[in-house]
Amino acid sequence: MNDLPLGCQRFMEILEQRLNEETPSAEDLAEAREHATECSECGALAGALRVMATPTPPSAAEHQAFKEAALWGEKIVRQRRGQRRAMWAMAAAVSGVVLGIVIWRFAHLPAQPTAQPQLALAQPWCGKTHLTVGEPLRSCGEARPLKLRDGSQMQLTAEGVATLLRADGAERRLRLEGGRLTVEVTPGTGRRFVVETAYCEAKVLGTVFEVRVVDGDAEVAVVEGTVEVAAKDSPPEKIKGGWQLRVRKRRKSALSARRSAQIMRALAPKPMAKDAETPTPAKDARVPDIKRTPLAQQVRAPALKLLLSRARSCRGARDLPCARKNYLLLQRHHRAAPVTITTLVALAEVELALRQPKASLKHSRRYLRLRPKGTLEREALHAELRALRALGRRAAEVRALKRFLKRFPSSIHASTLQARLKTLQR
Amino acid sequence: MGTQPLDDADLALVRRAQRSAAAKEELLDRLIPKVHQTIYWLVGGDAEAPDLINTCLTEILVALRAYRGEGSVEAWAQRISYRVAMRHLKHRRTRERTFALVDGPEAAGSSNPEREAQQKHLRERLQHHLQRLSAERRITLTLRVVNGHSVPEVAEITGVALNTARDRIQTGLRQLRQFLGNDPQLRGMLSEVSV
Repeated sequence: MNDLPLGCQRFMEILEQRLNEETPSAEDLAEAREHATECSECGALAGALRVMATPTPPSAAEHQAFKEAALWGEKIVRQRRGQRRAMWAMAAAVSGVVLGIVIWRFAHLPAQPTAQPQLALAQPWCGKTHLTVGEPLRSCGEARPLKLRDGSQMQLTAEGVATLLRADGAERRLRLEGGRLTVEVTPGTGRRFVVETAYCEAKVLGTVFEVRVVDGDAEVAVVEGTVEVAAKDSPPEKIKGGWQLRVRKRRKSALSARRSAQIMRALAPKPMAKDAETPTPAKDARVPDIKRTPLAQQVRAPALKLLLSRARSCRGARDLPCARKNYLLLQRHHRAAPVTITTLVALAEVELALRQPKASLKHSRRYLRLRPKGTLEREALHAELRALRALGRRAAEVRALKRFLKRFPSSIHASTLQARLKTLQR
Repeated sequence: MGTQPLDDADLALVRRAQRSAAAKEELLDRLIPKVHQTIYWLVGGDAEAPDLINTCLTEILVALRAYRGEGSVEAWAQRISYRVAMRHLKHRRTRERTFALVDGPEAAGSSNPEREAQQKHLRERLQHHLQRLSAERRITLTLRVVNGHSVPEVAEITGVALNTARDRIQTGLRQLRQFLGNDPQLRGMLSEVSV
């Protein structure tokens, strides 16, 4: 502004006052008008502002066109807004319905059936590859024992009925309703194996034992290891290998601890004497007398039959390691028993089948030593011959051949053995 | 010039226009010249000026419910016109600074066509120089001179401080004077008008 002439500066000041709604004096206005007539630039500016301020309405045609366009435009805008509102309302309604259906569906989802725990088998048994908790277990005549993945085995008799109650990382539990169940539990798995009956349960970590239910009474026979047997409302007892415990159906309610102690004394491995001390009756009249209603008694009974039956069943199922194991248990626990001596021959045969000629020779020679003229002498001699041949002991084999041929010249093996002898003697 | 006080008549007209087509047309008859002038001087000879005028009038009709009677309906309509024009100017990429612009407003029913043609030519040339100003200065001048808003109103509409609005008016005037000084023909035409 400083480069303008003084008159122009003054004109601009007055103009700005006017535009700022300040009221210039009449002299200032007159001065400005006069300057506008003299200065073309300032006059042009004043003219420009006047032109801008002069209303210049559109022509009539334009006016009408603008009016019609405005009314039409408003109608279109309102229609579109209404359509948008309807669309949003429909979308909201559909969304609400869909959401409601989804929520209702989830709220009414049928309960997913929880998968029952299962116990996997190492080999199929009676057409089953798994035992399901709650499913009754019945023998279908399968000769092979029921084998679990960890090596534990079970043998259920034809009349036996068992139900798997639990199968998890801590425990496997079976309930024996009737019949006989023989269990061989692999030690070191960390899981308890429990067989329960109506009145007791046998808990074991790793052993061979048998549970039997007869006329409501439960009988637990332990072949090897230790089994804890707990009758209802009685303290648990540990049964060692070679012992058997029978739990009879109880006739009275729970006994007191004092009565339990009396039972423990009565369960000592000595036969009960006739003049055994009569226990002092408890003050509670409901506590029964042990003699009249014995709760449990421990009977020393060999488990020979158990081992023998298992060995035979394993051998029949061609489970040679199982058969060998049970035969050896017989030898260990019932060495002097007559039947155990006869099983020496079978054991020798099993050892030969397991390619253990040295062990087979030991067993067959023991039989021949204990039973020189036994019923199984021929079989024992034959086993010895085969063991000597497998061991490569020619001189001993020659001697055994001669002995066999001398004792049994008309044996069906005679011709074969003679040929063998001739071969060895060359 | 300046805003009018609360006018019950304007409020009544607007309320009737919301229900009656005849009242709506009456309202449009009042507003079209103002909107036309505002849009024309704000966006200049833009080819889209008629569309902007239509857009502005449509927005006015759609927003009638928002008028509360604070100030004249013309002032309210001019604010809407300003918003529409600003929206357009913000998105306009190029500005054609030529004399060959859309025909400026024509006087209705003039008895002197020659004079009208001269006036039209004058407005077009003036519009050309106004477009050479920055958008802020042009709009401030237009709102003050064309629409008749007070400086505080202009500051409020444009969203600037009062002193900023005053400064824009001052600077815009000086710059326009300079442009007009370099156009002898227009200067001569305007000198006749100022007299």
